[in-house]
Amino acid sequence: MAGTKKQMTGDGIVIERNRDFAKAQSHSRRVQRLKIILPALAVLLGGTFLAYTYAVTPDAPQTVNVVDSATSDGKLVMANPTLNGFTQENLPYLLTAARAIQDPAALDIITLEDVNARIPMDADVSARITAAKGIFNRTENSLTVPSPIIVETSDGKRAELQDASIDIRGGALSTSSPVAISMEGANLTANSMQISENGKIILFENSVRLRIDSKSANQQKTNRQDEPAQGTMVDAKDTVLE
Amino acid sequence: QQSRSGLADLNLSGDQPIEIESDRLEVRDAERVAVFSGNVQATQGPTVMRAGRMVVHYRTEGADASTSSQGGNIERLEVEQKVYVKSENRVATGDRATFDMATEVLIMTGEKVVLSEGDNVLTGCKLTIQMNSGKADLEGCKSQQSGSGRVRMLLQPGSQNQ
Repeated sequence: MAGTKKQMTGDGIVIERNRDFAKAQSHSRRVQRLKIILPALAVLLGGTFLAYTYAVTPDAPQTVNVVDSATSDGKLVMANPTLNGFTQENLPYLLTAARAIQDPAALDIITLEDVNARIPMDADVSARITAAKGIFNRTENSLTVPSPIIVETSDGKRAELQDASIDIRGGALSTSSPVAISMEGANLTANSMQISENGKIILFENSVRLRIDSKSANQQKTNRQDEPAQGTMVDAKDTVLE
Repeated sequence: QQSRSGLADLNLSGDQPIEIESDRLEVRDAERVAVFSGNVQATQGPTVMRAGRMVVHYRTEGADASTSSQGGNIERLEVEQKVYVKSENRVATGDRATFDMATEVLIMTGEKVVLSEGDNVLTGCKLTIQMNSGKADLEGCKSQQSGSGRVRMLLQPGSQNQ
């Protein structure tokens, strides 16, 4: 989208904000396009991982409420921490965990257990992400998930990863373990995956297998009556002899 | 049981599931392409296609998704690097192929496009197949030593049994 010229007028900020709004709007239009077979598999990933949310979330004020906290063997343990906030498109997201553990000696590392996140992909589709454990590094703004992650969206897509390392600020995610993505009419497996640029580019590697069950994928297609092709593959009269 | 023959079977929009395998798949949403590369193999029913690289161009949901062609939101495929297409006993090989989902036309081009069925072998430079009717046109090569762009056809006598 061509950046608007910045007229140096009093309301420079207004233009700035319109540009961001327009960017967010075009951004949300881009997210709208999630309902397509093949790309949906990819955008699903881009659109749903924690990275995506954190990346789109400006440093908006987030409320972290902690039910109770205690120290156990010298570590600060928070029970049922919840983190909610709004994405750039003003859609609410919610991240909860059973426990958040912080070692006073390494305050920038927070270990989350039983992570459960509800992340909006767009106005009407949201994704639920669960992971047994997540290690959040505040300085690097990264999240390492050593255990399986399940992503399920409200429009029937599902992704399963064995682990993932997420660069939250950079909006990137990578895993070198098998991934499985399924949705109505198609499923995809691969042995590694890298998401970058907030899901704009998704790279699968090592025995990628995509299976499209075209019957359900294009329900509306009526079964064409192909007349049986007679004779040899090339009808003599049709061969163009120049 | 009269087996439907002809490359018409290579119709990616049929009802049978399609399996695509490759070493790598890169989906670039901004350009709305998905690039399969490295030992790409696409199989649908009796039809198999192999190539080094296959680019799938898809349409965004915004466009007329409801009236999208049978292939759902896929607009066209571009296949390159040793393209091999086999459907039952028919094989076509060439350097590049494109398949347009809407018109269901497969066009295979290359220095030497070879189309064979059993022992019958045809060589030319451009093979156009209407997938829905199975009608195929093989055009000869315009220049070079292969004569005046004629299609070279080798028909084995007695192999016309149907």
